Amino acid sequence: MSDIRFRLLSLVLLSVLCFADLVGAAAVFCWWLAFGAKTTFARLSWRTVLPVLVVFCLFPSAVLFFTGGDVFYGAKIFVLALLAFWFSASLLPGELMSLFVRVFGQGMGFDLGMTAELSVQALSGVREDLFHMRSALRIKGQRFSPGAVPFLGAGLLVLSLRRSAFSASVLARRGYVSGGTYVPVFSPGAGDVVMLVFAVLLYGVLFF
Amino acid sequence: MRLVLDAVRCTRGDFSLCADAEFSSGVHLVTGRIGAGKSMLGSVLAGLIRPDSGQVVLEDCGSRILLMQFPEYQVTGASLSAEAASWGVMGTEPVFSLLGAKTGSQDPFSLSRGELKRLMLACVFAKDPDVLVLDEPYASLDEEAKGILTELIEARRGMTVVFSHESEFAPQTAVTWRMERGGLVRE
Repeated sequence: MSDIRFRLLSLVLLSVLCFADLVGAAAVFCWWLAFGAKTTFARLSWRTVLPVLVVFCLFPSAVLFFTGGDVFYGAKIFVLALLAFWFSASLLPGELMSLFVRVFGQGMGFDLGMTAELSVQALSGVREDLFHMRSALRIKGQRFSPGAVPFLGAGLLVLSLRRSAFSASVLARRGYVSGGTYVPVFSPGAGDVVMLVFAVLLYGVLFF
Repeated sequence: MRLVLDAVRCTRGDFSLCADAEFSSGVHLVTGRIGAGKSMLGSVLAGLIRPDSGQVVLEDCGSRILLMQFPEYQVTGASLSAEAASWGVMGTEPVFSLLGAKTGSQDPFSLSRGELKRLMLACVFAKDPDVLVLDEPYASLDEEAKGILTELIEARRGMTVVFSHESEFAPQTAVTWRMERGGLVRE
């Protein structure tokens, strides 16, 4: 049982703390180890997570090192990226719809929720496409290289647009124009409360 | 030529594929509902997925090629001719004109899915591997092209495994298999 509202609130609090202070970022990293790491790696492979973290962390740090900025900015981004991975890995089908409808109502909330759900669905489609494309390279006896990126990118774009066109035509045939009726469902558990309480308690590090 | 699946078992998420079968030269048609595990079996036959247990035994099967259901997955050339070259074929083989597959400087992604499918089919038939695995080869083709494809499959030497819902187009001589809840049954 998990409630997106608690997780979102925890995410916002932790993100602010992470950006406010380097010690805060370290505390948030500990929070992620305690509450987020298991969920993150249950849904995502380290092969996906690690390259993104390296790029997100090293690139800004290198730029700021040479321009005289905050060299620890990269460390903060590193922890923020971990939080983003945790939050995306913890998403369950229908949760974004419930959240947006609860916050913005059956009109705009329904549209935003449906867009968010379709986007998450599209991302999983892209992951599957990439898997097939890598297999296709092996069939031809080719290896993944920077030279293959434009073709893979174009393929992903074409397939994503085809899926979007199909979804749009299904919605149009069902008479969708705007808004709808949806009953938001949340299933809060004790774990959500514990995560949120610890996220709040971490603000204590700012006073030491 | 033989390809034996010896107590092969593959698990991906909640889905498990179990196969104990022997494929010989000729045409094999594998049918089954969506989600029955046809694509996973195709990848196993083509050597793209290693079984979690059991083994795939190959006898006199030198080269194996899988043509995927969606042709966009396999595009790696900037032009139609470059795409043909990426498969190691010239693009001037008779199968290209038989299937009406275009070559030249055009961008492959400017083709319709049907045109791209015909190009990919022409490439793999021109390549002529020992084992050719075709995942939904009739999808996106018009009636005429489907008939030509069946003739090409019938004329092929070696082993051809066709995964398709459109069994009415498949060669009559094909050995028929059915995928059901992750298992493979010869009919």
